[in-house]
Parts: sequence; structure tokens; C-alpha cells
Amino acid sequence: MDDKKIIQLIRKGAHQKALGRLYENFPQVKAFILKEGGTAQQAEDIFQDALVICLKKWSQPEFELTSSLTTYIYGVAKFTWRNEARKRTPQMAGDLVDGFVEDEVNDFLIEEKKYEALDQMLMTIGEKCSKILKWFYFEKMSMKDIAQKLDFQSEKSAKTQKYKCMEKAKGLAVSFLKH
Amino acid sequence: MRKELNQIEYIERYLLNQLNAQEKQAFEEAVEEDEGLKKSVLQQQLVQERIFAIAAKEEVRKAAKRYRLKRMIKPWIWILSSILVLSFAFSLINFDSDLKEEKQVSKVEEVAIENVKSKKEVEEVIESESPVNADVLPVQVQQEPVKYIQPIIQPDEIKNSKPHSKWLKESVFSHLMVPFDSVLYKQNSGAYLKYSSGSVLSILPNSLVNSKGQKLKLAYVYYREFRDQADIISSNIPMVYYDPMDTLNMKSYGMYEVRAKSLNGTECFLEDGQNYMVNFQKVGVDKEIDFFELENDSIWRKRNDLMVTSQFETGGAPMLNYFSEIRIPLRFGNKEMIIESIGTLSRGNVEEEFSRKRSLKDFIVHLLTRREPSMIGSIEYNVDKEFKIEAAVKMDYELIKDSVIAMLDKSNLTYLRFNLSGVEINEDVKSINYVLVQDFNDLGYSFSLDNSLLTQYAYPVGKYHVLLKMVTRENQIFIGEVEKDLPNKGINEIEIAMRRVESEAYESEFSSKELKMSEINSKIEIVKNAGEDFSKKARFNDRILSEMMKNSGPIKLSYYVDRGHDINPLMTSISSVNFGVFNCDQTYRIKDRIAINGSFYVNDSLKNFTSALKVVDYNVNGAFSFSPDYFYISKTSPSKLILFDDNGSIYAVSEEKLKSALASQSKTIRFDCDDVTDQIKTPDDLRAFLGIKK
Repeated sequence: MDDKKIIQLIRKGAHQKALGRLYENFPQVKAFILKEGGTAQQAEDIFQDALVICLKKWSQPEFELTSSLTTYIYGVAKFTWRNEARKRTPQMAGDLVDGFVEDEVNDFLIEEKKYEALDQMLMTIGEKCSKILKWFYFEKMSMKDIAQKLDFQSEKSAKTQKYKCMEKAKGLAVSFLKH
Repeated sequence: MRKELNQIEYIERYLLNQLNAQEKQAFEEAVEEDEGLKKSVLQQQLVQERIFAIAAKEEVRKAAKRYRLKRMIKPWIWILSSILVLSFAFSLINFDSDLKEEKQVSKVEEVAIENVKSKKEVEEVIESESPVNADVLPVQVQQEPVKYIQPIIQPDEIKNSKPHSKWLKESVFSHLMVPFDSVLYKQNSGAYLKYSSGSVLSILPNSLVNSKGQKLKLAYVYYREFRDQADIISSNIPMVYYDPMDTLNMKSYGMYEVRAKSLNGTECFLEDGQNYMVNFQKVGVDKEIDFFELENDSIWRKRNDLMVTSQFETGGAPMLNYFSEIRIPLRFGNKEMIIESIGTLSRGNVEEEFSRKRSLKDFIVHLLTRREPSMIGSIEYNVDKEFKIEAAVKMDYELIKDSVIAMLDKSNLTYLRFNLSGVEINEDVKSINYVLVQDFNDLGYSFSLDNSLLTQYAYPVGKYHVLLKMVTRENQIFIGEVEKDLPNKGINEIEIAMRRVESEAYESEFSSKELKMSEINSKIEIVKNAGEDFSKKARFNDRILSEMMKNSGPIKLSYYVDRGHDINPLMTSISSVNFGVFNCDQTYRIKDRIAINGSFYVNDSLKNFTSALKVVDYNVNGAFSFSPDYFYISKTSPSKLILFDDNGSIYAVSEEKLKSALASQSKTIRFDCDDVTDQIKTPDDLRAFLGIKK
């Protein structure tokens, strides 16, 4: 599977297929982190963060691939690791990798910290709402399919439910932002 | 659709770039002019982004699981799940209810003795402070300054009380239930009770009435808390919340129950408009904690939100303070109070799962009847592929008539804190004092044990430790995600298969030579830094230790010699599919075992051994480590003893000599050892000496 195909899969919402291939880069990242004095567990965590960053980036229609996906993931993981290592032991800074992933990683790390509580709140909106929103916004599933999967009488009623869920989620976001 | 929903729809179309150019321009102009709309767009965009981020993380975790499984798990692992289920059912049938009764009776007797004193104390208090016998005051009482009294009583009727709510009646562990603390309420001073957790209950003076609304002069107030999974499971408290849209798991931050009874045993109530106060010591922090109440219909109802009053960080972890006092007017009597937070995950089809008679309590019963002493068990659900820990019990056992009865040892619960991310793992050594059996098949629950004596592999994946090792009575088993039912097979077959998987998993873990070397080098580095005593300080998985040794050039045999009790590289180096190497926590494997306190002789001279002794049992096909001063051996199995001295010499007690030593009638058994150092230079020599296949 070439890189373009993987990007296509991600944009279609077929993440598991794409991730299956992307995970093949893990040994390389793990070897790097072990070499840098990290543990296997840290390697897992860093690699997973890197994948989330890549998924987000590659889903954007304006994203254009200028290097191979492998290089990209490796770069993101490397930067994430160095960034984390710097926080723990500033003298261990080492060289940061090329600037091309720096913004993505920084944004991701800042946002993760900032919105951790909101994420927790959003996970309380109920199973049905979680499914509808995830399927629609992440997996790009059609409302027709969602209606069928969740036994809604019609696509219209599934849509109404989706908006209600969004309303609920926005309510949580408002309360989060107030605090 | 409502106007608000229409707006959400329109914003969604805008954010998903589904508006045409004209619509888009008009919308953007409207957003510029309307601050409220602008905020709404930003909020919706934020929600969409976070939903994406949450889902992406979930998918990546799933991919991580799959990646590991692909590398490690062989199809026959699936057998395990069906066997486990069968063995659970079997243990249920064997659960001896008579023995449970017997246990309960003895507990009640103990309590009764204590109560003689308590009753007397109560009478003294009543006599000294209450000239009136009746506990109902028909007229107004004189107000006295508030003077709180400490808890002094635990009346028989409460200590021996029968469960009084539906959920309590169903508990299979009513005898293990958390006892009430109690205090005497007096009309002129109220009641004040400080619970062992540090929580404080205050009942204000002149606030209790009987069912007719008459003020009470004296009453007993009872208070208890359910602070951990063991408390909850022993009380059978339902942990599900029926939200209008969903059924949700509840995650408790502590619960309390308050009751009051008059001296003649009738239920008392707070007078309308009166308050009581609980300063509750919660068991954890979370940003979302709500206050719920459980009524006799076993349905939780949300009372109110608890407001977060401050938030600060310590060491990076957010700490939250809530209102330290809850001042809510509550009637009590037939109500139980709870502080709860709704879990983030749906309960899924757990109800359906339970209808298959494999309920949580069945698991606990299984857990109580199957496991070895001093282990910790927990029940976990896997809901939506995430962990949700539901119950944890620390057990000590007593053996009665060949059955195991569990005793809940509350004093040992302090270190039994599970969290959603699983257990503490020492990442450097890849060792784990925690074992977990998971049934990912379709039930989504798992069972785990914890034993400080166990040191095994763990393969943590992400923040969730999904590929761990299980230690059962039968063997140490590596287990991973299972997806299908497999036919039932004998446990021995599984045991052998699992041992094989362990080796394969190990091989697979180090399949990349480069990775293997970098891993080993990093371990060697740690050991070097640890100091001189190489083998003692290297708290490694033995296999890694062996690898290190292999890669560090020629190793003196003495390096292989066990210097401690747990690490036993020479013996573990001969561990294989055909031969197990165990510590003394696995003694139960030895059939017809007897305890030995022996003396060791070499060439007729008494020799004092300090390193661990190995009992090689050919029926088990394994070796066990013990202290030479006191060890177990089978009366019937062919066995040998292997001993090491501090100089690196190796000694053996042959099968024949062992038999004759055991046949002697003397109190202290003499074992004659042969020096076999010359015969055993390598692990292969040892294998050959013991007649074990490679």
C-alpha cells in the first residue's frame, strides 16, 4: 500500500486499515527511544501520540505530502520524545528534529493538556451520542448508515438526534470554557 | 426541528465546508455581526475537534492492541477463555454454603462478646444523662450548649443486623459487609461521629423525630462508608445509573449511609427543615463529581452537582477541592446516600451478559473459592474496549474440610488501589506484581490477581495494560486478547501450550536483533550503574538476565548461582516447555507435600547452606526454590535436591538418598549431599544431570 492510498483511507474514515500499516513503523521508533534511554512503555506512548498527531494532520484536505509517511511519523515521534525528555531533564535537550513537524507536535501537546477535562466531559454524553458523533465526524459514516446501525426509524430522526447530541456536547464545552 | 438545532445544522455545514460560496459569504458576514453566533461556531468547532481527537486516540489504542496480537498471540490461546468459564461454573457448584454459615456464626459470636461491654456503657450514659425513661419528649426541651459525644456503642441489633435493602439482601457477602459505627444522639447535644476514614457526621440537637413527628430525646445514629471496590462488592450495591439516554456505569468516590433508630428499634427521621452535616473524605479526585442517592428500589437518583471550589496542581496532577461540607436537607431512614461520579463509559450489554449466570458475584465466589492465600483479586469489566474496574477484594483464606473459605482482610486493603490505567509496572525491569486474566471474547470482563511474590512479564500497551500474564494454580500463563470460543481441552494441555507461548512471545518480542541488542544494552547499563553486585541488583526478568550474560562474554558459573531467593538464573536457564522453575509461592503444585526441617551433610560433616535450595520434583516436572532451613517436598513424587554454597560449588541429594532420609523416623532429617560441582559447569550439564529434556 503506498502513502497516497494510506492518506485516502484516513480521509475516508477507514482508520484501522491505515493504522495497521502505519504501525509497521513502530519498531524503528521504539529502537530510537530505547537508544535514547527511554523504556518500551514510553516508546508505545510516544508512538501512539505521534499517530494521533498524524491522523489529525493527514485528515485535513489541505495537507500535501512532501516526504514519505514513514519519515513524517518518525519525525513527529522523535520530536515528541525530545520535547518530553526536555521537560523531564532540560540538559538532555539534544538536537530537535527538522522544523516541519514542530508546530503540529507543539499544538497537539498544548491542546491535549488544555482540553483534557473537556474530553472527559465529552465522554459522559452517553453511548448513543458518542457513537453518532464519532461515526459521523471521525469515521465519516453517512447518516443513512448511522440510522441503520442504531435502529433509527429514518435518516431524518438520526440527524435530529445528532444535532441534539451536538447541542449537549456544546453545553459541556460552554461549561468547560466558563471554568 | 427547533431553532437551536437548525442553527447547529447550519454551523455544521459551514464547518464541513458544505455551504456554497454565496451561503458561506452570507454566513461569515452574519458571524462577524453576531457575537453570540461567533461563539457558537467556535464552540461547535472545538467539540468537533475534540471528538476527532478522542476517537483518534481510541483507534490508535485499538491498532496497538492488534499490532501486538498479530505478533504474539497464537490461535490456540482462545482455548483459555472457554476453559476459564467452565472452571468458574465448576467452582460455583462446589461452593460450600454450609461452611459459609459456619464462618458467619463464629463471627457473630465474637461480636456478641464485645457487645456486652457496649451495652453496659450505653446504659450508663442513659442513666447518667437521662432521668426520663421514655425516648419521646412530648414537650419542648431546654436547649443546652452543643456538646458532641464520641461514638461509644455498637448495639447487637445493628452489628448483627440483617440486610435491610433489596441490594443488600442479595449480597453473597453479607457477612463481610462493612459494619456501622454508631453514636448516641441526645436531644440536647445532637450527635457527632468521626469515622475511621476521617469523615465527620454531625447531627444537630433537637432534630430527630419518630414516624409520628414527635421529637426524640435519645436515638442511635448509625454511619458507615463504602470506600473501595471491596466494600461495594461485599454490599452488592448496584453501580449502574439510568440516564434518560443511556445506562451508565458509576464510578464511586466514596459512599456513606446514615440511619437512625430510637432505643426501641423503630426508624427515626430528621425533622422537616432540619439538616445534618457530613464532612466526607472522598477517596479520589475528579473534575466531575456529583451527589447521588440510592433508594430502596435500587435506583440511583442524582441529588445535585458538587461545585468545584478550587483547582491547583501538584506535581503536574490536577487537584480539586469540592465543597468540604455538604449541607443538604435530607430525610434519612430508608435512604442511603452516596457521592458518585458517573463513569465515562457506557455499561453496554452487561445486563445481558449477567443473564448468562456469570454475574459479578459469581466471579467473586469463584475468586474466593479458587485462589491461593494472600492474593488480591479484582473483577474488571471491559466496556467499549476500555477497562472499568468494578470490584477488588483482598483475601486471606482458611482451609476447612478441603474447601477454601475467604476472609476479607480489611487491614490489607490500603495498597489495593487499582486505577483505570491498570497497575504499577516497573518499566525498567518489565516485571510485574500483578496478573490478569481477561476474557475479551464477548463478556468483556476480566479477572486479576496480585501477589507480591510474583515477578513476571508484562506487556503494557499504551495506557492500558491489555497483554499481561496470568498466574493460576495450574501454571504461569501468558494471555492476550481472545476473539473466539475454542473447544474445551484439558488443563494440562493448555498449560503446556501456554508455556510454549511464553517462549514464543519472548522470541517474538526480541525478533529484531537490533532491538534485542539495544534492549539488552540498556539493561546492562542500568545494572552497571546499580553497583557491583550484579545478579542481586539486577531485578530483571531472568531471561533478559541470561541474555545479558550470554552477551557479556564468558560467565563464571558462580554468576548463575542463586544469591537471593527470587532470582535463580541457573535454574531458570533450564526452564523450558518440559520443565518449570518456580519459587516457593508455587508450593501447592507439590502433591502430598510435607514440610522439612533438615540438616545437610557433606562427607559426614555438617554443612550450613545459605543460598536457596532447589527441590526438583519429577511428577511436577519442575524445580522449587526454598530456604534450606525449611522447605516442602512430596512424600510420593520422585525428587532430588540441589544446593549451592557461597563458593559456587554445587551439591545434590540423589533420589535414593532422599527417599532413605525421608524414611527415617527422627525429628530432624539428615540429608547426605554429594559434591557435583565438577559435573555441572553449564546449564546443559545441569539439565543432563537432572535428566531433563531440552
